[in-house]
Amino acid sequence: MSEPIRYLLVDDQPKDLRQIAKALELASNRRLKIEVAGPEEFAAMLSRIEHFRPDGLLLDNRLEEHPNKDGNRQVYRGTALAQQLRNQEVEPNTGAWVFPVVLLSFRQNIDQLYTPDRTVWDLFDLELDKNELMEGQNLALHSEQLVDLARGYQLLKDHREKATPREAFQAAILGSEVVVGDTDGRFLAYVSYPGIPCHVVAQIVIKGLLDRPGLLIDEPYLAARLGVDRHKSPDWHALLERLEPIRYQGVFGTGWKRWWSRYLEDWWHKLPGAPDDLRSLGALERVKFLSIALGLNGLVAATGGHAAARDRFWMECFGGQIPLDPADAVRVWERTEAKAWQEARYMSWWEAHAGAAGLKCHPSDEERLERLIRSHVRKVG
Amino acid sequence: MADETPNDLRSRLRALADDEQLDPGKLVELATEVAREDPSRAWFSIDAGLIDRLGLELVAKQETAVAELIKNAYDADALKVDATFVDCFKPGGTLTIEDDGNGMTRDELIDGFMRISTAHKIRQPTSPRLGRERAGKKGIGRFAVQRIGERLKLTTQTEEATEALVLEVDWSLFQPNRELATIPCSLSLGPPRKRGKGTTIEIQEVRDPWTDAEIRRTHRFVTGLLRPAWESAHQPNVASAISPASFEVDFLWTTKDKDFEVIDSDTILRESAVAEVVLDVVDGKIDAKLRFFKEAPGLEERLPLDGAEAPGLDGVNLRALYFLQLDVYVSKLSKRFLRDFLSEFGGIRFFRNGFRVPPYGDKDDDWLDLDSSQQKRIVLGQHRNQSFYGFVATKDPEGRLFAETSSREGVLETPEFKDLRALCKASLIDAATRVNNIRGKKTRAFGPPVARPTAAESLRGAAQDARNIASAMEQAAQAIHKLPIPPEEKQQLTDTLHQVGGEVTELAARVDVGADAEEARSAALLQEVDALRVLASLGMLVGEFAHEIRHILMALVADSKLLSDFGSQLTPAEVADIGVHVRDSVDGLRSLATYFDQAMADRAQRQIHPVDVRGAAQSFAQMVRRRLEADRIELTVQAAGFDLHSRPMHASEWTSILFNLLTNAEKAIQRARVRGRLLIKVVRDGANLVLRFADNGVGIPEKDRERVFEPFFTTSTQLGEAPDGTVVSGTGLGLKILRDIVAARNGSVELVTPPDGYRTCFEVRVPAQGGKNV
Repeated sequence: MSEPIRYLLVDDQPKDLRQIAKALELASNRRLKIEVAGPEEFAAMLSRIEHFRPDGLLLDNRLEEHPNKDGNRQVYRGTALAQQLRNQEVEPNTGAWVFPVVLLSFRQNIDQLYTPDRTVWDLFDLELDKNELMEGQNLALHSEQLVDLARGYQLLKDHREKATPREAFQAAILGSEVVVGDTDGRFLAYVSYPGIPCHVVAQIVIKGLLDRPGLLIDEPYLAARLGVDRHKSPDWHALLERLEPIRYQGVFGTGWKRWWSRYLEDWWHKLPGAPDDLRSLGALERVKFLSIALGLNGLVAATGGHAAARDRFWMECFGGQIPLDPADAVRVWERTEAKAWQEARYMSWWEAHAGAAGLKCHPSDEERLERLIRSHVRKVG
Repeated sequence: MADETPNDLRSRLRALADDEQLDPGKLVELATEVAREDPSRAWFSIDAGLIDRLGLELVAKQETAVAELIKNAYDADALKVDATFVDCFKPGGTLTIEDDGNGMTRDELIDGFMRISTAHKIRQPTSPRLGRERAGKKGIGRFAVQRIGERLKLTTQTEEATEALVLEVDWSLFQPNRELATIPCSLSLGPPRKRGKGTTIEIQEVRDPWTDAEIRRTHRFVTGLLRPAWESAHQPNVASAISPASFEVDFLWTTKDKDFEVIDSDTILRESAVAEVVLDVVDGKIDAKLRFFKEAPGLEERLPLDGAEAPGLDGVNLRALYFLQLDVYVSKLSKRFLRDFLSEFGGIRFFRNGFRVPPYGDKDDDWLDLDSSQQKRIVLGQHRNQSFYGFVATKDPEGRLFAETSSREGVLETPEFKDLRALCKASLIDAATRVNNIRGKKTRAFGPPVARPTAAESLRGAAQDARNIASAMEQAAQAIHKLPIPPEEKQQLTDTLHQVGGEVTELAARVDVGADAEEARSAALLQEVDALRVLASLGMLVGEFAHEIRHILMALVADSKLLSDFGSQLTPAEVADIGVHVRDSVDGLRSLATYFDQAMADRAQRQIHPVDVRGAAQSFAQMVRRRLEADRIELTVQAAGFDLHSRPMHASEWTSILFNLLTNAEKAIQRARVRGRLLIKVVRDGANLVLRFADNGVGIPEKDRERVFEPFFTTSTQLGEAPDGTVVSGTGLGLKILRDIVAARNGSVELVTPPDGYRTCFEVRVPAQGGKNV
């Protein structure tokens, strides 16, 4: 077994965090080793981090809420420390400071103190909620992400130290040279801008490539586009194995499982006897074809989340986890606009109508939403 | 001597009568014997033992005996009586009762005091000079004397006499088998009394020991007669009008080695009264003052009616002491006396031409509508009859304005009498309101002075105004008859006035209905506010609990996840560690649950009961243990004494009080950047229960010391004090809520000097539960 990946977890209530740290370690099959520490004076904290040389840092934001064991209460928050760490990386000879920084806080604090402040959004590679971490498969997912973040940063750092040429660096990020040739030039230019520090590259990859659909799609999107109900289909994982060639193999690709969206259609068309246009088929037709073509009997067609829903699914509803036909979808009004190579996020018209999940229809889609609602009402009437 | 013949007896009698030094005692004795020998007639005779038997049978207790003697003084028009007990805590002491009454002439002494079963008091039902109703039972006084002590020395002197008359009685001579009439008592002339007229009864060789309690009880027995003298030096006309009322009894008792103690009813009344109403109508104008003895001693204010015209009430004098029977005003010794006294004699008596007119001011008589007004709760300050002691005197020699009814039960309801009533009632209520406003300012140190009339009060005022208008119209209608105008015009005018007057009266009635409704609404509202306050406490409690539970839950979830998902991978040491962790969390949840159950149970029963504040503070400390540990704050609970119960409250209210103080202190400690220390101290201070909550935080600057209790006053702007979302504390309402809770239970909260080593100290003061009731 290789050397464990060492994270330092800084929280003002270290006692409460030991169990969480242990859970993350175990979930990673002990690939992670997480040391929990209380906050210290700012300079002492930096010095401690420098000496610890962590592969990654987990940081609570409310470091000033409770005093440490010496009875001292800090005056800085996690965001301030993270900002300082990011600054350190830009200084010369600062290899020691290249590692992922992850926010580990309560959702409530994230929403209240972090989310409203645009200036801190780029500080953390990942934001984790202490409670949600323990739910469902999150522990496995996020421990994998922590492992992969550390590895990815190491990779970025290595290339940076080696001063890898641009094309090779792009290939290293995306996983292969072939992929680079097929990728939107704007993204490539953005991620390989000369001299940008590793954490900025990591940010561009995570927020520009992995976090939203566009060049890459995640598992729910993949399922929607193939018309498969992944939860009800026993053969879903067998299907995923067949799709392994089109899976993203670049940096952070283990922690964030993604598939190239343009290669998905290529893959479909290469299947023998494939109907011309994937998008024009309903879920049943897609699954029927896939079952025959791949010899998988355990695939179940997905269904929409509304009686009147159409089933040429292409995305997942941002509000609720259901596949969505573009004809039923309206754009979500998000706080950041999608980049040129990214897709917008969508929600069903009925959820937009109901104002579900606190989401709003994007202003540019408001007219469409009204038409959808009216036509539906007429149909029912 | 039974051998003597009737002739022998007669010759001895003759010889005795001829004797130069006639012994009247022997004469009586011999005459009685002569009478006995009469073969054809017989006489009743009285055995001297009767005195003893009467004393025992008529006067069961020695307290009653002394009370009887004091009543005799009252019947003799005394204004002041001193009862002095010298060495009476054991047999052999001397008890002296000295009055300044009318005294007795030689004849009165012999025919009255020394004559058994005299008809004297029956013939004269009222006292000769002041016309007092007789208080003493018929002729029991002298037997009372015999009952108490072996010997009696009675000194008496009338106004006209220049010397005192001294009677000395040795009760031991009054033995059975002796003829009563034959036992002589010494009667002599002595030097004039120092106090002039009056009677002094000196009872020597007290038979039974007296206890302190018996002496006090004796005083209470005569409470019914007491009439304090009124300060009236500046208005001599008042003195004459009220002199029949004045009757004071002072008790002193003394032993060789102990300073004497005094019960002086007049002093008790004066010292316990909060204020005095002094109202006189002079030349048709009202002169009305309110003098403060408490709260603002020496303050003299004009009452609202001052300066108003009252032509029909010329010469009226109103004097009333105002009492609030609160521990702050009444000393422990006087408390019971005052309560008994006011329950018997509270209210305002009516004197006409110096004589009391019953039933006005009798117990249970509410001629000024004070009790009924109190019940209506229009005016909130105490103004029952029992809150006052006083009189109103009028001068009306011809009996024109205040004519007595034929049954001699009260006076006719003349317009003057109605006016007198209204005047007294209004002045007394004004006085009560004023006193309570002044008090309100003081007791609710942080609240605005409450002086605004309620809507219902205003409505009732309007109704009263309307009624006054109606009665003025009625008077006008009467006056019309005297006008020199044609009868039909008179009739027309009168009719119009009657009609309009009727409508105004009706209007007043309608306004009253409105006032009733308004009052009911306010009462309901008050109840609602009370309920809301308790709910707010609970709401805060829930918020704080949710916060605590979230933390514990997080730990438990992590532990359970470790066990369920990775149990097989854990080392035994890791499992044991998790076990300890889980137990700690469960303990935390349990103490929260216990605490919460208690608070909710109280709420569910909608009950308030005395709260053991020490216990409340201790279980609170236990409940917030984890939270304080996280903040590394040390909390000490100290309590002095055992009986630390507050008056009935909701348990959740104490939680709320403590939580608010805690959050406040936590913030101050956070800001001070020190290792936090908290001290909760519970002590009893007289009638109050005091909880002090001290912290070593930043302290509160002088300029903010009052403002901290204002709603939304908060200094939470520093780093680390961002609102926590679920917690009420931090909104700037915490201390306001705290103050509301405490004020609703008649308590107070203020900042006091912190103990050494602390920077801030809040002091919560609430009435303590009486020791016996817990």
